[in-house]
Amino acid sequence: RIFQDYSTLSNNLISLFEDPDGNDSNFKIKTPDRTFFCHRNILKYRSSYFEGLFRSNYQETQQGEITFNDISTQVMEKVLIFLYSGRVEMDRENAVDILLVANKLLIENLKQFSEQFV
Amino acid sequence: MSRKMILRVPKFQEPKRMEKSEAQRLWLLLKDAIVEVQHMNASTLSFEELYRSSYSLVIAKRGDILYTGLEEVNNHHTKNLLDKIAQAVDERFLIELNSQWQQYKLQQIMIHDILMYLDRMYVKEPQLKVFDLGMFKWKQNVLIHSQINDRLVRMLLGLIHMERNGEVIDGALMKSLIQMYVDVSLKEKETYKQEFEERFLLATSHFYKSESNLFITNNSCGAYLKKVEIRLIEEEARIKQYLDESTGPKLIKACEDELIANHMQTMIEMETGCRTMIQNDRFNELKLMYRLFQRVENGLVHLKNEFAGYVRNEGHKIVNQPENLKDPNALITSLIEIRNRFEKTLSQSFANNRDFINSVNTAFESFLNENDKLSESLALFIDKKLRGGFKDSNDQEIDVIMNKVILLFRFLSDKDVFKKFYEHYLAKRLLSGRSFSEDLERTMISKFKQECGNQFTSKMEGMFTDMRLSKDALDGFKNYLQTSVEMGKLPKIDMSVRVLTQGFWPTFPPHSCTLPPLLSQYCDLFTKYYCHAHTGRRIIWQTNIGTAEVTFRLPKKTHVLALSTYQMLIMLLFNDAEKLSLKQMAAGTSISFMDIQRSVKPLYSGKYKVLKRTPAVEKSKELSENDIFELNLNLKCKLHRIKFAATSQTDSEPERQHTRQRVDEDRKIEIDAAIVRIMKSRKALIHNDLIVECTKQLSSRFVPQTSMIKKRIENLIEREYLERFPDDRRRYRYLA
Repeated sequence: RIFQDYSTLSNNLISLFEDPDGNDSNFKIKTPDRTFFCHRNILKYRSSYFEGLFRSNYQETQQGEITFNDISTQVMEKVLIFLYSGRVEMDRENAVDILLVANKLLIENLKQFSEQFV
Repeated sequence: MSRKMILRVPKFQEPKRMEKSEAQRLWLLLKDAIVEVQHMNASTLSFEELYRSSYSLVIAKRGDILYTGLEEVNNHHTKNLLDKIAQAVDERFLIELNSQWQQYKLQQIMIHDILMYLDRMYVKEPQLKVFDLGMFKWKQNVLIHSQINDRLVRMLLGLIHMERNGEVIDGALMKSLIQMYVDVSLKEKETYKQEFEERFLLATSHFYKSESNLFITNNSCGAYLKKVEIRLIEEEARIKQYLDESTGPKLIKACEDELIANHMQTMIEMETGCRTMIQNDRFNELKLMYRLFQRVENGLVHLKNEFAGYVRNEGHKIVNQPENLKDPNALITSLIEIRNRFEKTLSQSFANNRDFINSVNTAFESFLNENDKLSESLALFIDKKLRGGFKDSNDQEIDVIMNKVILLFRFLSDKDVFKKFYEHYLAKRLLSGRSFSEDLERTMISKFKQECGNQFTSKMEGMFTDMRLSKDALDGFKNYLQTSVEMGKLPKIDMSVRVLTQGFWPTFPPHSCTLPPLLSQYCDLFTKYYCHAHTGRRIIWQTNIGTAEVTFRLPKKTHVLALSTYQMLIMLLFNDAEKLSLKQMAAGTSISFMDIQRSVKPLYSGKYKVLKRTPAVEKSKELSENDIFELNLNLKCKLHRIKFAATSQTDSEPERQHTRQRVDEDRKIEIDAAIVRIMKSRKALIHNDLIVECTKQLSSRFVPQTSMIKKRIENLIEREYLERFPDDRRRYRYLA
């Protein structure tokens, strides 16, 4: 038999993302007013954008941080939580913004969710 | 919240419309970056900035600028690379080509990564994906360019040739360069197949054709086989090391064709080849040959036929060897020996392959039935074993021999002939008390039963029952004698009688003789007793197979002679005469002259002579009816009891003829039964079908001759079991 418990898993992964120590974080994502402490391997498997980024040795990969000037902190947070936990809270306010980011960062599921909601 | 709110334009969304100049600016930005990547200077470039630029162009529907631009940049770059690479000389060429290629491939991945949005959202068939476009440009401008392709293939094939000749080459370099042909193939590895694989396979065939021709003429077959095996292992390794796996089956096929298929006939026929290996039981070499031949089409058929041919030939020699024809024991022993030998070859070399086993069996079947001696020889062989030949063997060894007997028996087509002989010798063993062990007798019979069913052994089992019942009858007779009135008048003799049920036992040729009055009286008493106890039975005395013990008084000594009944009768005549001619012996006993001859012979020509021929003549001389014998009163023998053979050990020709005749009689009955059985169920049948069906039904027992079946059909028509259809003479109808 297989026992499944996605919701605990999902919560635990959010804790990993929100861990205030950020000690074992190995990649920083910056928006104009916040820095998120992230993990390369999670990002790489969840988004083709990050997969390409980490595969090719550009400036960001070497420096260990990337800055998105075109994404707001609130939306970035939602998207990152989705990448970590598979869960996203959407409302009519942010759905379109999320859709745009999902589209750019090539996050297929998130794109589909937000498209349905728009 | 109203619906308007949903459609509100997000503040970070790129404008849908883009000025041409803006598009141009973004492209130039990307172009510079791509050129930097092509010069391996990516670490100062921002991935996000470049990705965002290409993303913006695609969003603004300006992907075309980007795509065509990319094509041009790649075109330009690869053309530059061509010049650089083509300039490299000798070994530098491969190294330069490889290092440029490795860099190029890496660059194409990096370019793909920043143009990923273009790749996903803009590129549509038949346009090539960004990475494939890069591969295509390399193929077009570098790999298949006349300055590169031919030179590269020739150098690669040259290196492989060197490696096949034992030199060490750079496997990693080979793998990378050969893989390049696969990488630039757009579908189904077409470039690899066209430009490299085809020429490689051709070179391979060429190499092994000349190598194998040379090697096989200068070496033994065994050495050649080993060489082939090593070569095949090397080629397997080559596939893993630097070829594309899709080439594997083709390469191995090419090698097998050149190394094995083209030389099969030679390997079989050459002096050190297959034939010699089989002859000399070279199991390991044969095993290798089997393994290698197995790889090519029809390979095993060649090997199998050769082996089966050898088996047939060896068997043919054995069954026709003059010494073996005279000595059944030697014949069967040799057959068991070669069977063992070939079974060993089958298991050690040919993996007990079913086809091989079957063809060996077919060979056995054919030579075992070459002449009709085998049935009798086999029966005689078992006879000897069961008369004491098994004395020194343990149970396991006995079982092995018995199973071999069954195996040979299985190949006999005329099992009924064997059965008759077996019954004949079994009867003789039982009646003369020469059977070594009843257990072993029964074991042997149960093996026949397993093989052929109840019907085959019912008579043999009946013989054993008779032996047991005879013992009971004899005990009863002895009791009867004690209470009988007549008994008081007769001198006592120890008489033993065996009652044989007619049908179970072979019918012995009828003989007659005159018993002495006393014996005759005892026989009458027994008949009286037995027929009283079992009403409705008739007793026929078969004196010719009996035995007797008589006391032989010499002046100084007394011996007991163990004789056949006939010999006893002859010896008794000497109570009343000093000298007797054979003619007189025959007259005095009513025994046929032939039986007299056979009975007398052991008495005067054996180790202990109780009779002597007067005047003495050469032993070997044929006896005539006027030869005269007298008792040998000078007999010197330390034994008290002297045993004489009844006649010569093996059967005389007339007896053998008799056995065969009985087989023919039995066959008529079996064929009649089969025909009636078939016609009863089929009602009407065409002649040929009836013959076929009949032969099939009887094949487990014997192979009936068509002429015999025809005669039986005629006979059954006469007896009104069948009739011909009036309008079709070839059809028969069953008459109920």
